[in-house]
Amino acid sequence: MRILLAILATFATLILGFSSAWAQTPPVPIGNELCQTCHVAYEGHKVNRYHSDCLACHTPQDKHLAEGGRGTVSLPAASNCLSCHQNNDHKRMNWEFSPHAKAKLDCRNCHGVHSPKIKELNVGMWKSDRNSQMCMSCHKDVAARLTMPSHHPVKEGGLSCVSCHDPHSGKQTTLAGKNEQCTKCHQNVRGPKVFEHAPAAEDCTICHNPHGSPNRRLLQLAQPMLCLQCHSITRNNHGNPPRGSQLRGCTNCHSAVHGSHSDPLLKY
Amino acid sequence: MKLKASLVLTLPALTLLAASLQAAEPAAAPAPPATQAPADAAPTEAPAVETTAAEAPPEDAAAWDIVLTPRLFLFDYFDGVGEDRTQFLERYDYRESISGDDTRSGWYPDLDLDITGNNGDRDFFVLERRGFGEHNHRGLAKYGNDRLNVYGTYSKYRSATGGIDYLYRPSEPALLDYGGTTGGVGGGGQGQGGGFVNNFTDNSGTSLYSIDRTTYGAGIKLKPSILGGWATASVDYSGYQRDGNKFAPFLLEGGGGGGTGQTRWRGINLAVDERMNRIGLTLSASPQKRFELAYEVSYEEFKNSAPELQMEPVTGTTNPSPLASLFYVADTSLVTHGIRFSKRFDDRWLVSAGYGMSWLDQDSFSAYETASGHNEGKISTDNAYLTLNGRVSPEVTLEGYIKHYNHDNDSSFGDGLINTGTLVAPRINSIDSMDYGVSADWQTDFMKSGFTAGWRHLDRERDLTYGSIASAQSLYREDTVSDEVYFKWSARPAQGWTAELKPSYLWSDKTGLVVEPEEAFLLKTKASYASPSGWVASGFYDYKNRKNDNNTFTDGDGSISQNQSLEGTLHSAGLSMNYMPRDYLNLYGNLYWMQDDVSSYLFSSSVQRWNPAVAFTLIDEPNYKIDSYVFNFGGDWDASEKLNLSASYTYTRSKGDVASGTVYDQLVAATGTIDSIIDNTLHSFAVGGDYLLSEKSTIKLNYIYDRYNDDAYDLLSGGVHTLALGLAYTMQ
Repeated sequence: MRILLAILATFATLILGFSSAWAQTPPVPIGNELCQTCHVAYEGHKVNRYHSDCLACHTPQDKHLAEGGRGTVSLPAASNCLSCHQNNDHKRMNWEFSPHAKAKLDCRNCHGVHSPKIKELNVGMWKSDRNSQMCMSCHKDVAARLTMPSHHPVKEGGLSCVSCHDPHSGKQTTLAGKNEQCTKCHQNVRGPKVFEHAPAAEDCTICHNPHGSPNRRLLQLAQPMLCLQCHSITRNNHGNPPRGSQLRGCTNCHSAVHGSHSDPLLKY
Repeated sequence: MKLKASLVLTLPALTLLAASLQAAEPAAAPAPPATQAPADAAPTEAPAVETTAAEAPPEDAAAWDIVLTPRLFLFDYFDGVGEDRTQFLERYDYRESISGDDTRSGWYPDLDLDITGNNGDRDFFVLERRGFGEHNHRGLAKYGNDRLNVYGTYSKYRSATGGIDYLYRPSEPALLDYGGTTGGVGGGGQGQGGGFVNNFTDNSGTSLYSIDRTTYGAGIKLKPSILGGWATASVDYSGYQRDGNKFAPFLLEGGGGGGTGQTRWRGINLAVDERMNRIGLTLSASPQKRFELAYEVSYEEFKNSAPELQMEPVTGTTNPSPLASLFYVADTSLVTHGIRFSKRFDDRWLVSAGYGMSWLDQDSFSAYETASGHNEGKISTDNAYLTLNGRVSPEVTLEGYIKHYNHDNDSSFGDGLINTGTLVAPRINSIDSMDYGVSADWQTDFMKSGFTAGWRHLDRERDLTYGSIASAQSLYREDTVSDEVYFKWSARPAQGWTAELKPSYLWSDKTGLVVEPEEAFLLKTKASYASPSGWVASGFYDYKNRKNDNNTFTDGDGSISQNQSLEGTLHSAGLSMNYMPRDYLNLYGNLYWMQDDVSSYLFSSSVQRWNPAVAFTLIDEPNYKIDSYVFNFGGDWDASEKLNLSASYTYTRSKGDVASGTVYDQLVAATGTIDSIIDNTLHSFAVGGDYLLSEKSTIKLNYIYDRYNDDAYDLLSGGVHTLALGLAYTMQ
């Protein structure tokens, strides 16, 4: 705790001490009347003051000025946006290492600068949120999993893709382990437990597929196959051969499968 | 009534928030300068256009856009189970009629809200509420100016998946291998009657299970304009409340611990009552834009208020102890903090580094733990990473990273509770992981291609305490060491075309868990085409094969070792099309297929693995193979200036055997198709329309038909009709 306080105090001193030294200078406004002779505002078109200068983000070629048309004016690359949006921003400071950046995506692929990219929710996803619909417009495999018999209720509006995923960063630059991501919401299973179950302590995705599964409880495989990968079955407890009434659900007896405070065999 | 209470509480609270934020608005400032400059003076890159708060216009000139959409929902669950059980489609879509609390059919109102204030600079205030009934609604309010952002959120969502679990309880359905009863009697050991599973006693007293999760959040962010232009600071609060109940089966100890065999295996209605509160501080800075620095610290408290269930009062037994708790959930607190840094050198090199720690403490202990001397539960983690990205030429970029993760379990070992005599699974004292890799990316004009080649290495060491079961009788191991090489080609071979190919190969000398691959081959492929006429088509095919023969079971006398042999293959493929023949018409379709095929050996052991006489027998190699299909198509049509129509249909199918051979035969003998196969289909059809009644009002109508058919377990089949009628009224 003392380390924490020391770091906080240092940071606060730095901020207060230099707060006026590096103040920004006012912007130099650049006109866009010429653009607006052709590009008229449309319904839902909104202009943030910082985005009101067309030429700050677009560079038209002579052909565009003479004839107009697509392909003759540059669209902003991620680096253009980040020249403003990366500074003082802990969420975007590692954009370059994110999977989205490595897939050569630009900010405008997801963000509509002039109006929202997703104006109306698809009727099949009417309870969902715009962010999730945006994600699913590319991540079709995930969208499909989210309709499987067991899934996180994204389409139902229970949570959003961005509840778990940070689209501006990646695994290489995160300070959270896989399980810490899950236990931000599922604290009841995180322990510490007296008797642990190794996969629950190591990686939730060993047993669960968070997007969706044909099996109950988001399980990667149905029981008992999921459990039999790691466990043998004791004959004197489970029959020889093991009986279906027990094989149908290992967790019908070993139900404290995320760990127990009382029972080493995780039965309660 | 509950809905009314929710609305009554929510709306004034949000209104008050809006009013208070407006009251806190900074003093009026002059309008921004006119934007006049010759086009040829424009920069080719976006400059850092930043304006101080002094230039903000007065907000009394704000334009308000207010849309109120009261909605009426009508629903009817049909063909499924009655109100005394949970319908399959109810699991993520719980409804309750305002008249008589009917959960099968009825009606309820709700209200969507959209309030936006724009001052010419930005949407400085946004309030949004989405309501789908008492058990599914959410809201957001946010305010921003040049100096700060403030936000508040809430949501409530009820899940009834526990009700489906209940339908699979040990006594449901009547077990065929017990002669059609809900559990056999007698038997014992290895014989007819299922050994230890003599008879299941359902003490739950209810068949309805659901859990409400109510979340809330708030935060404030101070912008650079009040922190010297180079720093931001934010404080964020989030929390949730989780209430409800779940079905909890358990098996009592032997040796008379469970009383007679009739009452050893039971199920109870377990209360869920949890709260979480987290507060965090984030400081970000870029001094003179020379580097980026961020520091985050958070404190979180998790509290379980459900009563502790102790062995003797619940079960009438004192074995292993009258104090032993059933499903104890401890209170915990978590402190995390991390510092991250990134710096760009010469616009060619980028370095990023971070370090974080967390401390998780157990704040409450069960009576059993306390009596056993277990009085400290503590897990700490350390994380660090360093990444470097460099553009060595206009075409070539190199990247390297190293990442370290450490997990330490510093909890106490309570004598008599977790001594090695009772420890039948390894205790994880620590996990130490080092992951590093390099890659090179080459961009070339050849088909506008990018080539990436890379290698990464993982070295994970575990410190484990093996108790009664020696490591040779467990598949869990201390080390994982793996290497992976990968290659990626992405290209735009022709106008409108993109293509991507990414194979990778992984091999491991040591695998700590048998589910980690000893060898894995992964192939990802993707292609898309966008035609000038408005067609967009894309497709992908992914293949993953993993195998592991590394980990072995050895008999107690050391005489025989047998490998667990695991192999899994996952195919997935998809095709998507979008066609926009006119500005007013958009059509789309998606097809997805996935096949998951996994096999592993089924071993039995002669006695418990802690017995030195244990011997393992390979019984069979069961195979899990499930195919899943999702087909979706629909369209949006602006039929006229006043009328928009949209429709969507989704077909989801899962089919296959969850096991083969002995396991399959035994499952069939116990419950027929219910647990041995997966065979279900979900049809979901939605159609909706908006009609502009007047300049300010729009009528909205949605109809949704969902139908679920389960050919493995017919009890789950059923459907639901939903009709949502809304009237959006706009005020400006």
